[in-house]
Amino acid sequence: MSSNLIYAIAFYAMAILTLGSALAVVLMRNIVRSAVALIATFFFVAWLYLMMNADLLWVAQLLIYAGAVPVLIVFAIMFTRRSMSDTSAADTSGRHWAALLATAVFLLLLVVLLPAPWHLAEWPGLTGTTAEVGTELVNRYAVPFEVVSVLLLIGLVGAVVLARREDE
Amino acid sequence: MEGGAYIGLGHFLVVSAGLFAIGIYGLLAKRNAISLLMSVELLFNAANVALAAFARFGYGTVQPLAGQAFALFVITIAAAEVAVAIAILLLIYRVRGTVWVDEIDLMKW
Amino acid sequence: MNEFLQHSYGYMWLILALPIAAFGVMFGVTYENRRLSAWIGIIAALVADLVSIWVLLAELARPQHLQQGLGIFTDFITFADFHLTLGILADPLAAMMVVVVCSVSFLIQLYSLEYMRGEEGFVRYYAFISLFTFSMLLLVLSPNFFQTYIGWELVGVCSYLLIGHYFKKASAAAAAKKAFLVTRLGDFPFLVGIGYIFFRFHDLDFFSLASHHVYTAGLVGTSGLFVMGMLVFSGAVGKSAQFPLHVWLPDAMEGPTPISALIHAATMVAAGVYLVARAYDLFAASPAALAMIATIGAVTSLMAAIWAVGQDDIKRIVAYSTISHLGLMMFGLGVGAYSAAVFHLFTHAWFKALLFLAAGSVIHAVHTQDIWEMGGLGRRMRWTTIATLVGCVSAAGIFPLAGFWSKDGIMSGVFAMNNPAFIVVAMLITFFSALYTFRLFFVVFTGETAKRRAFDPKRIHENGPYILAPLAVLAVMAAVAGLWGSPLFGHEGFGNFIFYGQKPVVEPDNIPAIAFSLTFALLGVVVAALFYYPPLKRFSAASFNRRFPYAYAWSHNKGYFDEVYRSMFVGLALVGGRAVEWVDKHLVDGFVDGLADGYSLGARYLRRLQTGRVQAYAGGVFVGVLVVAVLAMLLGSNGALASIGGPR
Repeated sequence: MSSNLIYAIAFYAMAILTLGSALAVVLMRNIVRSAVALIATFFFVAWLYLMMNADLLWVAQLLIYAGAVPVLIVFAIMFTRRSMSDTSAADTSGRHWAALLATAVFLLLLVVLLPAPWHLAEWPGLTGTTAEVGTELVNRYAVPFEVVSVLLLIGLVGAVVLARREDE
Repeated sequence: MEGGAYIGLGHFLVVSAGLFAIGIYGLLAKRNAISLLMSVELLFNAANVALAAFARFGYGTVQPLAGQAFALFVITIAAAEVAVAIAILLLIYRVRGTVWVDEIDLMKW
Repeated sequence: MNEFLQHSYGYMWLILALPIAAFGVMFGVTYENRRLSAWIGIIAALVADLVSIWVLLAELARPQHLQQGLGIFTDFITFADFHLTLGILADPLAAMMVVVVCSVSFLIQLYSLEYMRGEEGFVRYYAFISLFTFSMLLLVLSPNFFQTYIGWELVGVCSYLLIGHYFKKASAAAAAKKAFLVTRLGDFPFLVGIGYIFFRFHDLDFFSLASHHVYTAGLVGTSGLFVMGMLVFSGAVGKSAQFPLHVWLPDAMEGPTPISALIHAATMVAAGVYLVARAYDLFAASPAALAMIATIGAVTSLMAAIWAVGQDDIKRIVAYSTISHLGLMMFGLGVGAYSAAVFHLFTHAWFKALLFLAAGSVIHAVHTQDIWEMGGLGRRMRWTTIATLVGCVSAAGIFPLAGFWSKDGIMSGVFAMNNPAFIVVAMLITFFSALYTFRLFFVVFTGETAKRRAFDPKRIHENGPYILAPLAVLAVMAAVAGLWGSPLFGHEGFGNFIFYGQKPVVEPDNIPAIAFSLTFALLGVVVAALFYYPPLKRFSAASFNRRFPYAYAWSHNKGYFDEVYRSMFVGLALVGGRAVEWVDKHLVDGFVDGLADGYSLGARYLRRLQTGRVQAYAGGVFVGVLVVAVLAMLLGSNGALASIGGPR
């Protein structure tokens, strides 16, 4: 088996796992199961990143998406306990319309993205891109980088202020 | 891994589009605000997959690895967004006693 | 030694960083602590001053032109071939100006420790001085028009904030507004001019514009260069209070006196002259523009000098003196006496800061600004008197103090033009500046102390060391700074350090020019003495005014410019207002009423769309995207969507 074939098999496996678990996120009636499926989706997307030689994204995805974000979501589920037990009506009445719309958007994306004349370039044979991305971040993207750090701080403070009880 | 002769940009874009569509469905069909939040995360991931794919298959056509850098920013901003969104959600739950978004319609005419 | 001096360029960023850091610390950290805040500002200015002196010494040892970027802001904005950069520029002109700005800022802050003690908004005052200093330094160290404009506008904002320091007083608030709006009148053409330069030459960098001779390369015709020059010069007219936009400067006296000193000596008004000197290549390319600058400068200088004679407010006299001297600098730049004009900017900073701070010292002691309520202070405030005398002699341009050397450089330039009208005007300026300067001195410091109700002259006493120390330093500078441009220095002199074009050989001073201007200056002093110095008094100003009432009224009312402007604009506004009123009543109201009815009808049905459910809205967004995309695909056969893939 050539390495290309292995790569293709790995890709299809990851793609199916990713999309399948993503479908589970939106189709599960129980919110806790949805959350578990969400973690799985993030996990599989991370491997997609690795297949695209994006090892820094791979780590970031595992740490932040598969690690930190679900913790927040699970906490939110626990704090809003009513949603955990009540699975009677997880979906809105307009879910058929939603399905139709989602399909239409999917088709539109395919029609737009696939025939577009992308500028393709040969991959220069890098195995790891962490160093290169890091250099870019502190040089070309230094200002956005700093702005994002301020944004994170604001988000932190904002979240604390919002979630605080009035009487504290 | 010397190139993906079988697997190219288009394959990854299809995965990205699929994730995006699933996210849209979740966003429109679920009643629980937390589910909506999860769907938004799916949308973010769809965008990131596309960005990473552009960085991989269009290396250096714009700027080297711009896609990956952008994806990192998206992850950062998404993290901030989740934190604030969950804070808002808890606040709504405390005030209104519900997380069903169709019961939260204060802005109705 | 030389190597040590060269190191200074590496620390130039401190000159910018310290004042802005002081501003931030004062507002962010030490706002509650008045004393600490003030000292932070003073120390920051002092260290910046030391660094700038270091740089000046390096430039003196080996004049050169260096540019460095400001860290990550080096490329502030970059589009394809469009770069806007921020940076630090070191060349003789900038090095000289930076020293002036930092020194004056430092001395004024020291002075304010006592002058502003116990005032409301003390920390705010100090913080804004630091910001003001930073803005001016940003402008001075700017390597291109873009950064200059940033500093330019910041300076305008700071002057607004500081002139309006006593903003609870209506007149101060009005003066601040006036200063801001009047200078804006000049700033807008300046911005247009920068745009013009950019679209013609695709470059805003002073040095590369000058070194590649782009102005004279024929890209723009003679009239284009003239328009370009005038647009840029408009900015200088506004900032440096030149005719006809001079009206804001006297009103700016509403700010605290040290602020007036700062504005007049080093920051705000100096910016205009500095800009003309900095962009001199542009003006040198257009003789018509130079002639215009010379004319405006001469007119401003003469009129302001005459108006100064008719003022009763000590600060207003000094303010008109500033306008007059700035006009003289523009005059000098216009006639091609580049070195001399810049040198006058240098010496003027010292003696004008000195005169203002001395005036502040007097005001602090007697609590009035009317010179007729002062008098006889010579015996009670010995040190202030000596300082003022030094300032006055220097300002009047009398040998051998600072003002003499720079002024006579300009006079030599004027004489070299061989234009009799210019020479006459220059002599009149010299005469009147000596006259109003010494009128001020004789009235305030000699004779008997004026009687005022509820005020005992014995209570007048000299001020403390924080006020006197800056006065002493400035007095020394006002006395000796001129020697730099005197023949004593020869080849090391100012004219061989800052110059335009070829390095000049030592120009022989124009002896007739010096003789004439010295004569006229002394004549002005003598006339002032005959009118106002009690032991020599031969004439009475009151009887002179009775005999020539119109002359006095014209001078006292500053040529009626405020009145003319007011009636002009108010009249225009009234006519315009009537027209607008008619349109409003008959057209706009009818339209609005109809619109309102239509809206209420439509809203009754359309509001059903506002379900209040987020998902309905989100669905609407996606449907909208779909519709737009499908339409684009159907209508723009190979337009909109084909271009998504990339431009090529």
